[in-house]
Amino acid sequence: MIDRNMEIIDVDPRGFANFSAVFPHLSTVSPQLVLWHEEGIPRRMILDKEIQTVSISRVEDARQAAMMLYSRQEGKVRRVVVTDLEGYDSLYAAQNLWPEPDEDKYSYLCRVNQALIKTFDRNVAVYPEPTLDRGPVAFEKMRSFIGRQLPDQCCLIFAVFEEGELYFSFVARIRSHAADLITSFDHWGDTLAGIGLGSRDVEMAVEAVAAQYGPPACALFIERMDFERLYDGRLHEELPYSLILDSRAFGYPSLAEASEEAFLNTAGFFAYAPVRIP
Amino acid sequence: MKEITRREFICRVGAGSFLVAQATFSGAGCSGKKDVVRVSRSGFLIGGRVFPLYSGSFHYWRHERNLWPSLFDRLSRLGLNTVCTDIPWGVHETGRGSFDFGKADQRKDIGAFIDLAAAKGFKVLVSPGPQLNSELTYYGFPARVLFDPEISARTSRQTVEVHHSLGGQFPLPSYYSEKFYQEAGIYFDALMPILAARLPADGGPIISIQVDNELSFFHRLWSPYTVDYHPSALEQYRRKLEEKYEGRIENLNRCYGTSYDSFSTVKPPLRLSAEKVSDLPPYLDWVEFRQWSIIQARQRLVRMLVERGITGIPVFHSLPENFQTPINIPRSETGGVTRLYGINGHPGREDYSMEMELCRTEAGISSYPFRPAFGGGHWFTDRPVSREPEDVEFTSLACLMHGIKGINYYMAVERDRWLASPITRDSRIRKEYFRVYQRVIRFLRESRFQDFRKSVEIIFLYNNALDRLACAMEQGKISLNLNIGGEAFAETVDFGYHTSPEACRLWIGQTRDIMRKVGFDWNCGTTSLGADRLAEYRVAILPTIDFLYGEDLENLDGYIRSGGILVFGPERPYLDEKMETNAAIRDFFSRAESVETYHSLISRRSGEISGDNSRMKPGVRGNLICVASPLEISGLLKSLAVSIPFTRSNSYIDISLHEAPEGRRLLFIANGTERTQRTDIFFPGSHVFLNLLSGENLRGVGKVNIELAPYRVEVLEVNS
Repeated sequence: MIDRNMEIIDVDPRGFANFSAVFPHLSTVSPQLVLWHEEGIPRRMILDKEIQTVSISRVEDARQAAMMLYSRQEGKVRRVVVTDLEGYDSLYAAQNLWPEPDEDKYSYLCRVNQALIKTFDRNVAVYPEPTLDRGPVAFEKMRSFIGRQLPDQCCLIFAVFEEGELYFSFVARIRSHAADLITSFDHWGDTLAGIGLGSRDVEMAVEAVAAQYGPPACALFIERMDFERLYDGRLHEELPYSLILDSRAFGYPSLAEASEEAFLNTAGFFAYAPVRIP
Repeated sequence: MKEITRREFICRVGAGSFLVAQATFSGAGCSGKKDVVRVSRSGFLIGGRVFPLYSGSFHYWRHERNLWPSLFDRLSRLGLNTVCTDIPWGVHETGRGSFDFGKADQRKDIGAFIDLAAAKGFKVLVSPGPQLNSELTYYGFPARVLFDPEISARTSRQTVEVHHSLGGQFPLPSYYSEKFYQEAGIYFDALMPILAARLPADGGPIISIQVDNELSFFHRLWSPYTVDYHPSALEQYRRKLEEKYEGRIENLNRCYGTSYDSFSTVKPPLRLSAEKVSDLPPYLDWVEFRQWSIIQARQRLVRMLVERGITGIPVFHSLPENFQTPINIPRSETGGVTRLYGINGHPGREDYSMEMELCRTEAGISSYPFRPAFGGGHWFTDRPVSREPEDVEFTSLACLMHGIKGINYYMAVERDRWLASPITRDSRIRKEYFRVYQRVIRFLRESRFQDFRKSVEIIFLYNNALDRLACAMEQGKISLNLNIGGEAFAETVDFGYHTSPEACRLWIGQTRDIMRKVGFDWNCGTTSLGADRLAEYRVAILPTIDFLYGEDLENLDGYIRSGGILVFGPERPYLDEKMETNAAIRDFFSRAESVETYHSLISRRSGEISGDNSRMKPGVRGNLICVASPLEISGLLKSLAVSIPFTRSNSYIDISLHEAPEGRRLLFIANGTERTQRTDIFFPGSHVFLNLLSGENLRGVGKVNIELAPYRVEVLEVNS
């Protein structure tokens, strides 16, 4: 779980810039196709702000139309919305449910999605139906990622190196089974400055972090090329060469069982947590 | 510093009430008694001396108290002369009506923080909100206020509109809600005595106070059919209509083509469904009302400050980065109680073109063009971020080049949910960043940048008519995960205008492209700029469609009467905002000369005019010229003898000249592209150029050659 009051401090700016440059686009809805119709007659179709030729003559049933457009796009779009102006207003209202004070984002977004689905009828529909379980780093995956059996106090370490030199790093502190702080090696100042991908340096990093935040439940040290290879759109049979010092955070008792998904979730966690705490 | 007594406080409140009356009825601003701090185009005026604002944000409550002294020392080493801090209501409130200002948590001792700032030699800017953002989950509000249904803003469907922040979500508050102001008043009652005791009149360091932050329906000002349909909003909307239509419902019905019985039954538009010109007035009125509301809300909050003893200093407000006219800045600066505006911005280097536009706008409209929150580091964002140290230098200098005179770096001291500041949370220095900030501030101080004024003869005006129409046509409502913007419904509607808004926007884009390529420099303003501000420019350029707001005509007419040259195009307006033919507007524009006629006039007169003893050059004063085609603009400006004292061979390079009264000149040269650019800089005669950043000298007769790295600004002092 992620603590809703999680702090984010001392993140190395160069490292974050490197991370945001290489990490793939995180949006789970783009590219999105929107078809506007009036009483079934198509008026305008937009694919991520670009006007498209409307490929259907009439919208008899918005769900059917959305599914058809989705399949015709052959995987090029992640979502299709078919709506008239009244339906647009319904979607707008459904997306603005009264939130509860201190309601976590995940619960709220789940409620919103349910409300959106209830608005669907012959004039308005979204396909696939909105869910938080889609996309490269779905919220649900991230939630469960650190929801495993972890020590009461521990940490997660994730460091990527380019030709042996630090490219970016993230460290998460876990307290009472919730991540309550994210930082980077920059937090340790000169102690971890200039660290490389060598066993001695790695050992030093783990020791420094563990001394402050407790033992690592996951520590990944990986080369940039291997990191990027994880996002080439394919599922890999073998994990990239890397140092995995612990894998408890993945829910695997031994290193051999750790999967590629564990890497993806680790990266996703650090990518999403700062900007969208679920 | 001692707190003021209750008696002193009451005296000030009394004085404040008087000042409010002055501000409201005389339009004299908030400072009826002599202002201790005033605003000039060069900086704040304190004791008659110009104080340029070189500031950094430092959030006291986010740092351990024992770190404050060393953090101030770091800021001092950076070269800053001012610190700015937010004072979040939600951080200090412990329960309705009870607050902690340091008794329970020492980090929250705002009084001690301000006193320490003064002891360390800093002036202080304070922002008490009520809305601050500050990257706080509830934007600085206590949750109990935001989740009070009476305070929530309403959508066109009478739901709340939910805003998503880093840590959660909340219903937008309505600035029409009376209860909202009552609650804010409780906070201000508790806080203001602490601030009032630290005003310059009592020897305190607070030189200015910010009211609220980016007030714009939480960035929904340009989405008119979202919020706010709060019952109080609708009441005010109807009152405003009653005022506009002179209390006669038949006037409104005639204009709207409706049959309302009374103003109390008028319904606001829920979405745009206009099909022809005559359908538009209700939508334009709604847009105008929302913009008017922003100013009203701001002024009410300012009055609340004044009533609580905050007097003698300018009040400022920060506008959102996606600023567009017509939040009527010039009018509310002079006629209202907010004295100063700046535009926030956290640009990356790739935002150069947009930033250039924003800075030109600030230079054109603000009493003191400064950036209240300029990117000193950044928060976490989805988009790829490029904020290397050299980007800080580039964006800072680019802003100064295009007209900014003062800066508040937000954040100078890093903290939770922020990165890339020059000073870390625990008082370390980020060396590469720190050096860059030091270099920029040193340049500002050593060059005495406050003495310089950007040398421009042209102002490019935003037209209220065009921008309100564009706003009225914006149908977008949904963001978050679905993210269906207005472009999905932005069908081009032929309202029957001679010139469509799209055609006018094309004219604007092409005209500016040509001006930039040729090397003209300009500021931007709005049709609301008073004739006195417009009179600072020889030439004003106005994009036009078929209609114009009647009140804008007065400004434009005044400008021409004072000798200005108004260039407009592509349309000759003939309608007013009620879409009725307006004889004054039609006649005004119909007397304009075409460029062709104008050229022949010039050639006839050129023999008659001698000397150059006025701001008007060859034979032209008080003229009105229609530029139907953007292609005509360059020739026209040349024939108007708009000067380009320095120009360049490479049109990817921008240059801007700044002049000081004693004849000193600074030439800014910018490469806002991702490639290295070489260029010749041309000029008459011979000059020696001292590069103020590198210390190198350049010498040339007629020209010098210079190479600029990608995203680089050089500043050359020009000596003959």
